[in-house]
Amino acid sequence: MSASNDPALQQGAGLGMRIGIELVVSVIVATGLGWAFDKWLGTRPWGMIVLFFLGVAAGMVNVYRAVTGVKMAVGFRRLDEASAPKAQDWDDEE
Amino acid sequence: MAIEIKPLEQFTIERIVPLHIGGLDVSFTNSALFMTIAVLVITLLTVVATRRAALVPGRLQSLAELSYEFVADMVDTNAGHGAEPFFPFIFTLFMFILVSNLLGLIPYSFTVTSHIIVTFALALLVFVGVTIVGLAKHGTHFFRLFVPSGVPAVLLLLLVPIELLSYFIRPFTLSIRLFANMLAGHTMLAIFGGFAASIGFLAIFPLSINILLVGLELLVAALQAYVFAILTCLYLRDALHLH
Repeated sequence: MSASNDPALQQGAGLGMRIGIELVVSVIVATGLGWAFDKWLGTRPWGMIVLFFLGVAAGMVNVYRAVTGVKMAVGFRRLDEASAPKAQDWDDEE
Repeated sequence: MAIEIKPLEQFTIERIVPLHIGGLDVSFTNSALFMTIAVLVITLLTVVATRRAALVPGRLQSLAELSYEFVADMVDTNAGHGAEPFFPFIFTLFMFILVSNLLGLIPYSFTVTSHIIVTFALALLVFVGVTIVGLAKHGTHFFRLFVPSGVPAVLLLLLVPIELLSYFIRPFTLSIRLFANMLAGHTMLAIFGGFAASIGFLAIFPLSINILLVGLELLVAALQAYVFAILTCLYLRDALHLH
């Protein structure tokens, strides 16, 4: 339903839209979470510092997976490993 | 002559039918109105267009069939084996976001998806739903999703929090992506439109930019619906196919 019916282009455009925001949002949300923890537990500034770095790491992991691991499931497992039975038995198209 | 440009005015929520139940403001707003319109459009498209299904489909019927096949294909290739029962959900999600985005492009209409509370509610629905599916299918085994295999125990201390964080960040990235794209696009359109209103005959330049921008926004509207749906498929695959 995008500009062209070429599936490769569709995937590429979709991927491009995905990864840009992933890193930024990860850092912001994690830092905010750290701030909230500090406020709750009174551990300023440690929660914010630790979660900031974790957020950067999580964002990078997400981007890395989105880029290289289009064919990889979450826990570093390859797709063929993760979903061994390929989707073949619901071909009700024809 | 100074015309005040208010590019953010288009996002105001207005109460059409004020309604308060037990101290809760449940007014029928313009946002609710456009959600209703979106649902009606989708229902019309899928029900009316296929009621008299012809072997050689007409325009409306082929539109309905095209969107059905598009989403079916997406679920098939991205969510993998065992995701068929979730096709109706993903189809509904995709169509709702797509139609809301496209309706928002009509001048003087309201873009439902430009409000983070709407997109966050949708993303949270996906996130909670996928987690429940994973838990129901795998039980406590589901938590192995957060433990990468073949890693020394010391590193797990670092990796498990990262995995957890990258998992719980999903509803945020999912919702902010859609909301930010719609908000930015519509604000940009309004700013260029405002320019055009204030500079007389030179308005031809911002207006021609706006024409191009509407084209871009059409692409973004479709693409964001696609991205939202495809990510739902990918999350579903993670929940269904862990070892």
